[in-house]
Amino acid sequence: MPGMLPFLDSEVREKAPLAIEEMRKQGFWMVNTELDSISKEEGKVCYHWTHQYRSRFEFGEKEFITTCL
Amino acid sequence: MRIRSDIFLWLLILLGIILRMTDVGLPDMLTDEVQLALGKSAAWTPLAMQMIVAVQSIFGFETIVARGVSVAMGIATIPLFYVLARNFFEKRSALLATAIAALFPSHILFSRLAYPSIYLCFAWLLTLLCYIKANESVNRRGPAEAAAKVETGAFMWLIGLFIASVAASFMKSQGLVFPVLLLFGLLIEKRKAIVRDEVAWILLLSLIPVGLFFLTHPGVLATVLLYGGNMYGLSGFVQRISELVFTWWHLLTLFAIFSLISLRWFRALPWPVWTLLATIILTGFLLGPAHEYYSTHLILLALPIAVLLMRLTPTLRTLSIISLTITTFLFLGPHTLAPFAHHLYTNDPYWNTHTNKINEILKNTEEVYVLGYPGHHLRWYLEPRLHVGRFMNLEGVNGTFIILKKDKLPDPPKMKVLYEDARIVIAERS
Repeated sequence: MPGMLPFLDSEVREKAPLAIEEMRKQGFWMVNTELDSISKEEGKVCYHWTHQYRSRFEFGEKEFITTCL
Repeated sequence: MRIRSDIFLWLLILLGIILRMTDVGLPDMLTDEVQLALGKSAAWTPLAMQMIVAVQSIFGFETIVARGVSVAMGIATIPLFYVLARNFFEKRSALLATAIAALFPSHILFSRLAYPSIYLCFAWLLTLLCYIKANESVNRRGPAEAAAKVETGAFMWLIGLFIASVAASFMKSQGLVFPVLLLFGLLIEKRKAIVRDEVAWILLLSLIPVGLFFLTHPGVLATVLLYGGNMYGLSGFVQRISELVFTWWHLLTLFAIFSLISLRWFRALPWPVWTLLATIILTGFLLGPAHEYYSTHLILLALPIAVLLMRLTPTLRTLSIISLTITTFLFLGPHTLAPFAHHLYTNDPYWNTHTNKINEILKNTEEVYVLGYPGHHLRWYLEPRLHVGRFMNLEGVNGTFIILKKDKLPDPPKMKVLYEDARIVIAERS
């Protein structure tokens, strides 16, 4: 539930699609990505993600990625 | 005579089981199947994904294993259907309904594929059964000497209803629609007395876990908003109706005709059965009428078809059953024998036949950029780690690329083609 509370902030909602676009620019399959948390740092909204590549051959290592906008 | 007739029905049930196990590995894995098999979709609630991943963790991530879980769910639905039918019919009619269910084409088709609809179908039928039994047990209560026994029965069915309803809502997001509509049905039936109705409370409580899941997993709501008004919703009302009718007709043919005629006898069945049928039509209509997998649940129509057949003369009934069996076989028999086999079984299974060759070409490659609109099935078939190149700035990036020809992209400049066929190009830039 705390993970959803930041979405009450309109800035967080507004920038969320842009954060997803940023992730896509790195070539990730978004189904392999989960949003862990959201924070505000130095006037920017930071989206903290966990990415784990999944295929039939590989359940990859977890990577932690932050997108600040 | 009766024994012979029962044996005939049992043979039809056996045929239905065999057809569910036929040509299971033949078609390529489809994109939605791979999302389920790899246990990753933001749009679905997790139970079906967890089940299939758990089974594959033991037996291996293979097409036959992923689809094997569906086969098991599909076959398990048959005895469940019999137990359900026994609530409305005597033994013989229930067996007839089960034989029709066993031969129901759309249910056979999706018992062979790794779609969550077959899991949801089982959970919805189980919810219906538990609802009917729980309601019956609760209403049978009285000061009689058997009260304790009735109390135990009611308690067990109420627990069963809770578990089945939670399971349905966690199999796939739309699973909650049926318990919600049952609750509305109870409200209309009981009005103010619903406050004291245990079955209503159980249904309400069973919706809390999935409610909390939606609140804590934005992916479901995000997907609804993403497709809302386009794939999901009421837009293009007439087109939706025509797509739904066309898709279901194409899958059911003679079963559709029998279903339409038999709807008159649906009145012989209690309102919760109607409610499940309404749920099936509503979800298909609202969430994507062209999606064939919503037709899985139409197996419910085996109940009114059985009522219809029981009203026919024995000769006409036998002829009807034989016609339905032949229809199913023509459509879903082994692909070498079925003249009207579903297109999945007549198309060239490209990935099943080309994967070894492509993986051999890519054997020393760790990462590949896919250009075009890749389906999830690529992660099922290709060994290197795949990047979705569509949104990436790949100017000046060196490496191996797969170009999907279906998307008709312009040829990327300065690349050496390593492999090409009618579907893909593998190229390298260094």
